[in-house]
Amino acid sequence: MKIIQIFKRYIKGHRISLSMSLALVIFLNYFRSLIPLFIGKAFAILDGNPDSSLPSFINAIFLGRDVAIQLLLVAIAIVVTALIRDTLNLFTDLFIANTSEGIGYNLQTDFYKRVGELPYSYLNQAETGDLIQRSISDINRVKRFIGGSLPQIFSSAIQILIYAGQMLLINLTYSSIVLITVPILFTIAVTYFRKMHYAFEDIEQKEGKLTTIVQENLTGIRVVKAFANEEYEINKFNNGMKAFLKSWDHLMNKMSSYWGFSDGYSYAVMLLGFALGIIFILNGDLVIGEAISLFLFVQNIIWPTRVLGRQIGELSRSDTAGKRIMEIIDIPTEFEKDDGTLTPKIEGSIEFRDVSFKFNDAKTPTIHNINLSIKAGETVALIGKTGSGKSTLVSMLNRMIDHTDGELLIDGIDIKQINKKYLRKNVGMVLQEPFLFSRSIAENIGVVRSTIDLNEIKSVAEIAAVRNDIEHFEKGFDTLVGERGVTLSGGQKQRIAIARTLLENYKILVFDDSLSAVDTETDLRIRRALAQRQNHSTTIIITHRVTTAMDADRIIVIENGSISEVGTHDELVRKEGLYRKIWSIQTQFSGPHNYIEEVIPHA
Amino acid sequence: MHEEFDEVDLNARINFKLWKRVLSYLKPYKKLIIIMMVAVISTALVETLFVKYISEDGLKRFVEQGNLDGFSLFLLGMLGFVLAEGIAVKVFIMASSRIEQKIYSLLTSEAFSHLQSLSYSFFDKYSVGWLISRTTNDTARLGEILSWGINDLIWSIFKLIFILIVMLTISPKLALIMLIVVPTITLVGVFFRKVIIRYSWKVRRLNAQVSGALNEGIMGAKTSKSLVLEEKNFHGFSQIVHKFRSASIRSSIYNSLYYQIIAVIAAFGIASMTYFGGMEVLIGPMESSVLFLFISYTTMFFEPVLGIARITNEMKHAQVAAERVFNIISVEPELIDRPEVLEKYGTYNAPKKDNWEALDGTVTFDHVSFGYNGGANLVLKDFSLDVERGKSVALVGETGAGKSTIVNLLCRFYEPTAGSIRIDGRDYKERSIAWLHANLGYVMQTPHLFSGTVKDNIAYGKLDATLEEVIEAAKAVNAHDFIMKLDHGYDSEVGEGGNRLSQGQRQLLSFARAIIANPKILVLDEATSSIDTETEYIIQQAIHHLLAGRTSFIIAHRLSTIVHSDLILVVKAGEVIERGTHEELMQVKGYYYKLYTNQFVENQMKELHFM
Repeated sequence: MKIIQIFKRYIKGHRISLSMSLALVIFLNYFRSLIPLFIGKAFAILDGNPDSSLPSFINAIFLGRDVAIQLLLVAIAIVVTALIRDTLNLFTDLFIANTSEGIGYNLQTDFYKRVGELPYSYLNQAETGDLIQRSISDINRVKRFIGGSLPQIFSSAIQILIYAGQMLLINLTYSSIVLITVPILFTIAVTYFRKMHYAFEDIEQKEGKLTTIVQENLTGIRVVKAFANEEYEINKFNNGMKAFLKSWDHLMNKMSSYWGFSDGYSYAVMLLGFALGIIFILNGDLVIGEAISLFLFVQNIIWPTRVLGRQIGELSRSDTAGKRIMEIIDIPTEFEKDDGTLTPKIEGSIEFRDVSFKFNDAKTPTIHNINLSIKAGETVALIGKTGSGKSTLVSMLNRMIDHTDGELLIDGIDIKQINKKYLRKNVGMVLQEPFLFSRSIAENIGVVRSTIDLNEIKSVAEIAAVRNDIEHFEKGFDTLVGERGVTLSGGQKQRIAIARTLLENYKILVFDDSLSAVDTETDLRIRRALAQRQNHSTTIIITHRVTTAMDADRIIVIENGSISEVGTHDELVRKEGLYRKIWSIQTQFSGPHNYIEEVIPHA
Repeated sequence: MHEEFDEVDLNARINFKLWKRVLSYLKPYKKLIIIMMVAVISTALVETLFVKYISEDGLKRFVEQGNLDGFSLFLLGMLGFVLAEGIAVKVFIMASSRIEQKIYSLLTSEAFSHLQSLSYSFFDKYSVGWLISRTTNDTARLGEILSWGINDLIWSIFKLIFILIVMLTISPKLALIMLIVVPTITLVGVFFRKVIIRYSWKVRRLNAQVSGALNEGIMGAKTSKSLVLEEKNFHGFSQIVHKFRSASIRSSIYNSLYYQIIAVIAAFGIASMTYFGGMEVLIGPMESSVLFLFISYTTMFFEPVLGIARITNEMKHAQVAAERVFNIISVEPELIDRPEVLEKYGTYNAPKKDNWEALDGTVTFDHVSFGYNGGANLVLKDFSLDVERGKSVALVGETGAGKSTIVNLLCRFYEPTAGSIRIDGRDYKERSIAWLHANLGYVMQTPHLFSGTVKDNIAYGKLDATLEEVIEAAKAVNAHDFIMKLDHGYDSEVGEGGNRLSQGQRQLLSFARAIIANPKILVLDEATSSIDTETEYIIQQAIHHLLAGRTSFIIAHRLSTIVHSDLILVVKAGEVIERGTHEELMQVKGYYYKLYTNQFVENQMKELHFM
C-alpha cells in the first residue's frame, strides 16, 4: 500500500502526536462506553438489583445509599463522564488534526522541494510536466485521505473493538451471537464500495465530458455563432446531459439500494439484539440493567461499522493517487547525484575541451567536440539554426545539463567539481521564454533578494529598457504579473527577466535568445547600457540578429552541434559561409538597422 | 476541477420573490415531491415507532408477563418496520436524487440555451470560468438544496413532531425537559456555524493558494534553478502551507468544539431524563420501559435539531446561487433582429429558410464608425469600402489597430455605431443574423476544434454533410493526407480542443470546416504562430483554395497571402492609412513597405531554419 508508505515516510516529527491521538482515542472510547453502562445502572437501581457491569470501585460509591440519591449519582456520573469524554474528544481531534495536517505539510513541502530539484532534463519533457500537473489533485486526494478517512478508520475501529469488549464482558453468549452481524455488515460494505468504484469513475467521467461541452462551446462561441450552429450545440449539450443523468441515475439506484439495505440491516440488528435480550432476561441470563446497556451498545456499534466498511472499500482510490505521487517523489533530484563540492572564486574564463553531449536515449550526440576558450570579460555571440545545439551548449555553463564527454573548465577548474548552486549564483542566465512569478513586477525583478530596494530595481529596469513600460502601468512597479494582474507582452517579459538577472553581479552572463521579442533599437539600447556598466562580465549572447552579433568581440557559428566559424564580424563577413549568408539577407534592403522594427504586428 | 468558491453574506435577508421563482421550477414534479415526502415522513415515523414498540410493547409486555407468548407475532410486526424503513430509505433517496437531477438539468439547460442566444459582445465581457461556475456549479448547488435540503428539513421537522407527540401523550412533564434543551442547542448551533463556515472558507482559500503555489513552482522550476531560488521558493511555499496547516487545525478544533458542546448538552439532557424519569418510575405509576423510551428519544432528538440549523444556513448559500443563475438567464441579447425581420426570416432556432435570399457577395462599408459602450471611444473611424463579389481584402496593421473590429462588424458580432454595412446593396440589418451567418465563413486565428472525430469537426460547417463531402472538403485544403495517416482516419478523435493534433493540422481542419459550408463571404484571421516551412506551404495552398471564388476579408500576417490580395488596407488607430494593391503600396515606401521588407527578411531567415 503506497498510502501507508506515504504515511510512514511523512509521519516524521509527529510520532508523539500520533501516539497521543492513539492513546486518546482509546481512552475517549472507553469513557464513551461507560455511558450505556451508567444508563444500565439506573435501570438496575430501579429494578432493585443494583449490581452492574461498571468497575467495582464505581459500584462501591452507590453501595448502601438511598435510591433517589443513587439515581442522582447516576445522572451526575453521566454528565461527568460526558465532560471527560468530550474533553478527551476535543484533545483527540486536536492531536489528530495536528498529526494529519503535519503529514500533509511534510508531504506537500517535500513534494514541492523535490519537484523543484528534479533534473532539468525531466522538467523539459512535456509528459513529465503533465504528470506533475496532475499530481496536484492527487496530493489533495491523499491529503483528504490522511486528514479525513484515516482518522475515521482509526477511531471507528477502536470504537467497535471497545464496544464489543464491553458487550462480551457483560454477556459472552449474547454478545457473540449479536456481534456476528458486525463483520457481515463490514464485509458487505467493503465489497459494495469496491465494486462501486467504476460507477464513481463513470459519473466523474460523464460530468467531465459535460463540462468539456460547455467549456468548448463558450470558448468557441465565435465558431458556433459564425456557423449558426446554436441549435446543434444545444442538442450536443442535451445529449451530454442525458448521458450524465443516466450515469447519475445508475449510481443513485445502486446507492439507494445500499443505503436502504444497510439502514434496514441496522434496524434488523437492533431487533435481533432486543429479541435476544428478552429471551435472555426471561431465561434469567441477563438482568434488566445489563440488557439495557447491551441494547445501547448494539444501537451504537452499527454506524461505525458502516463508516469503516465504506472507508476501507474506497481505499484503492486514494492509493492510486498515492502511487502517482510516489512515482514523482522517487525520482532522484539533480543534487542527489553528480553535485560538486568546490566553491572557487569565479573570474569568468571558460574553456571547452573536446566537449560533447548526448541525451540519454539519443543515438548521435547533440554537441560534439567543441573546443573553445573564452577570456574573462569577453563578449561572444552564438549564432546558429534552430536545433543546432546553441541552447544545449550554454545549458552546460550552469550545469542545467552536464556534458557527457571532454572537459569543461571555468577559470581552469573542472565544472563538474563545482557545486551546482554555487555555480548558478555566479552564472546568470536569461531564458528565451522566461517565467515570471505571480507577484508584483518589483518583486519579480528583486526575486533573488531578500529585501527590495526600489531604487536599485528601477536602475536595472532602466538598463533593461523596461522602466518606461512599467511606469506606464497604473500601479507601476507594484503591478501584479499574471492572471490577477497585467498581461505582459513577450518583449516585456524578456526585459523584466533581463533586469532581474542584472540585479546580481554575475561574472558570466548568458542571454539565451532572450532579446528575440525585443525590437532592434531596444536591443541595441540594452546592449549599450550593459557595456557601460562598471563590472565587465563574460557575456554570451545567443541571437539570430546580425546587428546584435556584430558588436560582440567574437562570433561563433554553430552548425549541427559543432563550431563551423569563429571570428569577428569583419572577418566572418569576408568569408563564404553561413554568417555571410545571414548578413546579406538581413541587409538587403537598407542596411542592418532597418531589420525588425516596431512594425512587426505580432511582436 | 473548480477551485472556485463563494463567500456568502450570512446575514442576508430572505428574498421571497426569488424563492417563489426557484420553487416554480419544482411545479412539474409534484408527484415526485409527494413520493419523496411520503417516503421521508415514513422513515421519521418508522424510526419513532420502532423504539416505541420495542420499549413499550416488547420490553414491558414480555418481561412483565414472564413468557414468550405472542413473541413471534410481535417479531413479525417489528420485521415489517425494518422492511418499511429499508424501502422508505431507498425510495426517498431515489426521489430526492431524481428531483436534484431534474432541477440541475433544467436550470443548466436553460442557462446554456440562453447563452447561445446572447450576442458576441456578452462573451467579450465575461470569462469562460465565470460563466461555467454559474451554469454548472450554482445550478448544482440549487439542485442539491431543493432536493436533499428539503428532504432533510422535512425529515427533521417530522421527526421532532413525532417524538414530541409520543412524549407529550405519555408524560408532558418529561417532554418539557427536552424542550428546555432544544433552544440551547439552537443557540450554540447558530453561533458556531458562522465561525465554522468562516474558517472552512479560509481553509479552502488557503488550499487554493497552496495549489497555485505548487503549480507555479512546477511551471517556474527552470527559471528558479537558473536563479538558484530553490531555497527562497521553498521558504515561501512552506509559509503558505504552514498557514494552511494552522488554519486547518484551527478549523478542526472549532468544528470539534462545536460537536463536543452539543454532546455535553445532549449528555445533560440524558442525565436529566435518567434522574427525573427515574424518580417518576420510583414514585410510579411510570414504567421503567417508558424511561427507556424517553432516554432513547432524547438521544434521537439532537440530529433533527442540528439538521434544521444546518439547512437554514444552506438556504442562504442557495439564495446566492439562485440570484446568480437567474441573472444569467435574464440577460437580454444586445443584438436582435427587428420584429419585421424576425417575422420574415425567422429566429435562430426556428429559421424560415424559404424566405432567405441567396447571397451574392458584394460588401459595402458606408462611413462606418464603431466604439464600445455606445460609441464613446471610437475604435474605427469613418470607414468606407466597396468590395465586389469574389474579391479579397487583406487587412494589415498592429494589434489593436482596428482590423478585428472591421471583421467583427462584417460578421455582425457587433453593429456599427454610425454608418451602415450593405450586403448585395441592402443594409444587413434588413435581414436576419442567422441568414448572414449561414452565408458567411469565419476562420479564427487560433483554430477552435471541438472534442469528437475529425469528421465531426469538418462537418461542423455543414451538419448534414455526407462523408464524401467531408473528404472532398479535406482534400480541397490538403488535409486528406494527414487525416488518412491518423489511426482511425476520419473517425480519429481530435481530443479536447483538438489537443491530439498539431497546430498546423488544427488549422487545416478549420479550413475544411469553412470550405464545406461553402460561404459566399469568408473571414480569415490568419495565424501568427510560427510553423515549419513545409506546413506553411501546405497552409498557403489551402488558403488559396479557400479564398477562390469568395468575397474574403483576411487579417493577414503572411506575405504570400497579403501579396495575392486584390486590395490591401493598412489600418492604424482605427483609420486606414494606406490602401491599394501590393505594387501600389510598395511604391509609397511607407508603413507597408517597411512591413513587407521585414517580413521578407524574416521569411528568408525561416527558410534557413534560423527562426
